Amino acid sequence: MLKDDKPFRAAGQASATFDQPRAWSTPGEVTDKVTGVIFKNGTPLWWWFAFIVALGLLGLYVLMFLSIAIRGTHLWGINVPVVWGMGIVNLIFWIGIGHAGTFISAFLLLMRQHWRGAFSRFAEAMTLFAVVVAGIFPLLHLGRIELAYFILPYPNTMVLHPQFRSPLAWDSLAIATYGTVSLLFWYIDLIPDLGAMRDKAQRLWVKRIYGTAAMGWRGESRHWAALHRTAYMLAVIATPLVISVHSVIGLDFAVAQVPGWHHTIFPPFFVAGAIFSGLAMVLIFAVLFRAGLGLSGLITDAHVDNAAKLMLVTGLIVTYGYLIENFAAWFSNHDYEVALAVERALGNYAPLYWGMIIANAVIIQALWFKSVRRNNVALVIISLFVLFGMWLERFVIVPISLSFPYLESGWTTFQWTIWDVLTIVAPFGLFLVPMLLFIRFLPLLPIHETQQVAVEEGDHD
Amino acid sequence: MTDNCMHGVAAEFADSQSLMAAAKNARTEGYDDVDAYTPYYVEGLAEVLGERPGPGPYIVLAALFVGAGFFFWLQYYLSTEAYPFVIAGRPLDSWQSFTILTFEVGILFAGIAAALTMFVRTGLPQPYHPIFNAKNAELASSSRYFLCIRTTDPQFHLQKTTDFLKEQGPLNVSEVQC
Repeated sequence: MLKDDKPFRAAGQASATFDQPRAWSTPGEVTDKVTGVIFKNGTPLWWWFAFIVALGLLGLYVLMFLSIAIRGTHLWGINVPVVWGMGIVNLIFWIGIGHAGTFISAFLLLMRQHWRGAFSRFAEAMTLFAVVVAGIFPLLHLGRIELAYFILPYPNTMVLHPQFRSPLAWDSLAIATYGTVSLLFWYIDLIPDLGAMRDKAQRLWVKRIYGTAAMGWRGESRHWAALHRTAYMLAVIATPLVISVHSVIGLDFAVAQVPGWHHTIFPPFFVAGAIFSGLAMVLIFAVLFRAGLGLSGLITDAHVDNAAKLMLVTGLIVTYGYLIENFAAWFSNHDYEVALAVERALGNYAPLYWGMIIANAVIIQALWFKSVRRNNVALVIISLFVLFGMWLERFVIVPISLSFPYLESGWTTFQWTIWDVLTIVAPFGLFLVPMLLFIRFLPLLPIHETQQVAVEEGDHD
Repeated sequence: MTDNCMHGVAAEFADSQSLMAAAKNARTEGYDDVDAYTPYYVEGLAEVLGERPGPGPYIVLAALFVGAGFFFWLQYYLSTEAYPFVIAGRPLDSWQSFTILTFEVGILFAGIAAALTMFVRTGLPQPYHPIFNAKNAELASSSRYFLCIRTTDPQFHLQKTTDFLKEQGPLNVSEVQC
């Protein structure tokens, strides 16, 4: 197995990439700094504030979930022909958020990009929580959540089985696989750091909790070799997985014959959009955590700069997707495709469409400039625009395309209800509560990987 | 000479280079039952201590094919035998649409196999291990590197082994109780 991956940096790249003064230079200092966030610094006031807001949103989520599960999906503004509404829009949005985590932790590991270490742990945690949030939407959207197990192939006396020739039947297993592999990848990389937490904890009961979670990790060289090999194997299988999961979601649309959906570009377009929006979320968290938890020596400007460049690249792919969508509509010479493209850009929905274009294709052009990529405030604002823009993109794809079916008398405009708004806002609670607990109780950065980089940087200085 | 309630003798080093040198010397001396403990992955250390690549990757590959094969069969069987359902006159055995989940389930099996092989190979979870009794063992996860020669080694001799470890330039050498 890949034995020669000693440096987590590309060949020829010197330690000059870290142009901020580092707060650490030895492995011991790295451990002290990362575990200090949890054991020494105490709970910052902003954490409590954020946690209370997140708990409030979680309460709203429970209300929304129970209402829709018990009273039914008619609470949403969906009706014929717009039968897919917020349940599906938010499924795509949230699973897209998750994609950056796997992309950073798996794909960039294989590419030997050592800067990924600063983000990999919390981005992977973000993936896990986002997949949970995303996975609940299709169940709600089914309308009869108590029968959700019908979508799995299991022996039953009704002799009914899922229709595997439809992409909709693929989603459940694709998302379940994604969630499972992400969890394994995240946890296996976390084990040695849980061992470090155990060793740094002062109180016995705290040691016991971390020690149990670490499964008695002792840092033996053979275990390190096994862990290293397993992490690489998981990275190798997670990389095609992350591409495939959002491709499957893209196929849900591309296989249907609705104008605006029936495009071959959808799977790659969806994958780029997913990584794009996920990187926006990663950047927001990176900047906020760095400021809020005092991690400037560990998450440097160079790290953030690299992630911003990646966001720009994926954003340009998404922009290309918008161009091709309209080109394909024109080139197909298909009346309804052309009509949809015109309605989308000039009809009732025009503000949403152009909002999407401005947020995803225009504003990100500022990232060409280094001064913008190194400006925390600018980065957070741009990232928020990207998140908003990518949410709009999913709205443009789902309800707007459905608003213009082949039967022209059915053309309509989607009507919102308060439950649609709750379905957009409340899931942030379900996402932020575990995220805030994670940064309070688990090491935010991969300690062992950062130590390794620290040692190698030290050797080169 | 070996004590039943003694796990071995451990030496504590300040950096990975000293540990690596000591590990190589121990192997040259003929010690076989040697363990090293480090805060992070030190490349090549396990190989110096006699680690050979196991069957892990092949098991993962096999799991990938088992999962993929199983699910392709399942989809084929369900669509053609168990619940044949004609949609727009399309063939029941349209295998092209089965390929996606064939891949996904293969990945699922491979991922679970990769995690399981790691736990089998390392023997984790293992809440207790004698090395935790070594002096400064709690630093093994942050700043210190340990080399432990176990009493089970045929060459183990309390005095000679301790002297050997002391020659390697450690910060200290301690006896590790069970």
